[in-house]
Amino acid sequence: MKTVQELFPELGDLSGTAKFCSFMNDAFDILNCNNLFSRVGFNLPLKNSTRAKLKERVQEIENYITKIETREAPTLVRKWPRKTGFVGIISCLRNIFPLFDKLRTWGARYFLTSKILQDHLENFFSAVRSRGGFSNNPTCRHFRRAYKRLLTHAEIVLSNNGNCLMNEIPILHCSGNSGLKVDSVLFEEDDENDCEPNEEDKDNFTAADLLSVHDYSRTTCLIAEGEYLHEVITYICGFITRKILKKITSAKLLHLN
Amino acid sequence: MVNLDSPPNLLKVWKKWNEPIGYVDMGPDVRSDNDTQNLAKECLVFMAVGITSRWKLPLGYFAIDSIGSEQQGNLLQTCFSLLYTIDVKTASLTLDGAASNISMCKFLGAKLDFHNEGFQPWFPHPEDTNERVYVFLDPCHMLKLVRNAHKMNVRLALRRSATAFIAR
Repeated sequence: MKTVQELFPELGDLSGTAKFCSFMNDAFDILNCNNLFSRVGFNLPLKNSTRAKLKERVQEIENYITKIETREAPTLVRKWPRKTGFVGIISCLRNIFPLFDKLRTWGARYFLTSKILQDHLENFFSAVRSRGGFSNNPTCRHFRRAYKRLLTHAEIVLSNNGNCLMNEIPILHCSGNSGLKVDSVLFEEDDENDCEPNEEDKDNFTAADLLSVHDYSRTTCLIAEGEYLHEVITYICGFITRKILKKITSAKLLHLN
Repeated sequence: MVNLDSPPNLLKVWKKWNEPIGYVDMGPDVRSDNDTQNLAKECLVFMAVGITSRWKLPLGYFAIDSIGSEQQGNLLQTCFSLLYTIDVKTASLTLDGAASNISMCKFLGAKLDFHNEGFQPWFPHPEDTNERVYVFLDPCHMLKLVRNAHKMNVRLALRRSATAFIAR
């Protein structure tokens, strides 16, 4: 800005604009921290050790914004018709501290402010648009299919022309794959109840079947019946439950057990 | 611990689409006279994002033509309630700066009028009034709004050979 001012002295005093830019830069840095170890300027994660520094800067920014006035509207910016952006920034800046305190009571040691951006949703939309060829105007049907597809198989590939940068947060997903196949295999009782596939099955057995048949389905599991299977399944279930219980603290969910 | 994103966004749907699937659909729980009469133009999507853990999950979507702030607020409250019943703690809500969103925040109990004294950028959780839900107007959009406001003034400033913004 100083260089511009030297180049174009006829523009007058530009220090106001320079100051404005530096404040806005810091404001957005504070609200867009995605890295616990970031040390650039005010792009810091909210932690016990950085709280005071950030709080101080936020106070400066807030004081500055509330005092802005423009040539166009010589009233204070907060009464200006275009005030939304400024009010929004102030409310975000104010809210991160009580939110952090709340998270701290819930056991968090730091708070990455990029979590409150809307980028996550924008990325999702970008993924929806990219399904079945990029389309900026998906139809309802397109959206519905893409939505379900992304829910079951949630790996986002992003257009370079999208609204924002890729983040690497996966959508929580469950596998909806092959439910039908497993059911049909599991509940198809053989007459002799033995483990060998019968003649018909052998003939119709294709590579696709091999891929879709799981090792826990009856037709391929050699020791399908009896105590052994029971023990194995009990053991695995117990293991899974133990792992899940570590993650879930909810009293309600425990009660369900 | 969750942040809830909810813009009435952004998927414009072709008006020409003329099949049952292209109509306004608010789901079975919401009675709307507009259902199946108007063609949907937009899609309202709610998404939950983990704040202290690394996941995100779309919670649901509604095909809408346009939506009133109150109705949108009700849908959001349903979201909060459903999350509450499965013990997900909702700590904040992110929206963009559309006027309807701001009036929705008002409907939910937040006060975003900065020139008034009672500036209160949070509202009580619909299920547990002791908890606060903090409202964040998406910083990226806010930055854009600020830039647009600034751009206009820079032009003015260039014409008048004066500074864009003056801080007192």
